[in-house]
Amino acid sequence: MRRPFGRYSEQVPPVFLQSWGPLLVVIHALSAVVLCGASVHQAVLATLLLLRRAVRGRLLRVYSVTTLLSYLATVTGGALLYPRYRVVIRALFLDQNAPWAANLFDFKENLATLGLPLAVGALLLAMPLSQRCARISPTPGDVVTDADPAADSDAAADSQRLASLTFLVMALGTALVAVTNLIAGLVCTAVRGA
Amino acid sequence: MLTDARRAALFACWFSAVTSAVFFVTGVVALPVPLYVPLVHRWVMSASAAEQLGPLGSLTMDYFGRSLLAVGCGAVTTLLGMICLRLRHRTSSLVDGKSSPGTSLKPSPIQLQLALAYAVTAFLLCAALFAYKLYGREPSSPVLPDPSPTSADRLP
Repeated sequence: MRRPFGRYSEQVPPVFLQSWGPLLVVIHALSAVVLCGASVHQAVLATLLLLRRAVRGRLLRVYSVTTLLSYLATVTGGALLYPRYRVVIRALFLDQNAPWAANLFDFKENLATLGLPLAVGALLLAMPLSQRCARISPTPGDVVTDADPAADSDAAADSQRLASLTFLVMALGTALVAVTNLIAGLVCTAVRGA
Repeated sequence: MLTDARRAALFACWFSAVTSAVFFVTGVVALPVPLYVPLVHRWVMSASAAEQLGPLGSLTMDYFGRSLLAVGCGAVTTLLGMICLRLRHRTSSLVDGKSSPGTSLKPSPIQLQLALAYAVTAFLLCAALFAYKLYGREPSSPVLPDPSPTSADRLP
């Protein structure tokens, strides 16, 4: 006798979007790969900005928007998949055979929630910082000049530098969360796939 | 969208710090949050659904509720902070008789340093809490019927 499509056992009630699981996992994984690429690029740009190297303001905006959109897409995909994971993957398999993988997966989910404000914060900071990049003209040696027209005092210059440092922390945090979660997700999927 | 990097940095740190702090609290205290019960397709507002829904209610998902609570608190307090700062700026402009936007009420370096320190500390504490809680956690799922396919299922 054949089971209904997407059901692992007729004795277990079906869960939300159970038959769409494999397709959602692929979309979730693809958006996570995009997120990793965009967030790492954003972190590199933030490092260059703090080191006062020449950075294109447009790139800063593009990577920040891409990071946040892919983060939201990944989180939404993961949230749609979560009921299916909780019953079909975790309750029926991981808890009995590989509890460490279930714990790793739950840590990844919690880390994703903590990383969301970092991605939002990076976008909030990227917009004014990219405008500032456009105002500062790079020298021939590809190094941005120290004089910032917006910085009217030493305190303002310190604050601007702190804003760049905050952007680096937010971008680096987002990239670390994205890369850690991608690796953790691949490990869990290797233990028990979709 | 904020046009000043200093104010954006302050609010970005505030959003992150509040979200991490509330998420930390949800990991320590069993707050009544929206729980999803996947086997009965229901949402329950409780700290535990087992007593309300019987055996099927023992398999619950509190992740959605905890995340919504934390991110919601962070977003709402950040928006309120933005509105308060804007109102304060308007009031001070009216009192001083100046109308140059973006020239006053910018956070000082000390305020930015403190905000960044709070945000980083809250993030690290919360991540460490969940790493500690989940490391070596015993399985908690109820025993469900064996899903492994029988030999009859494998036949074409």
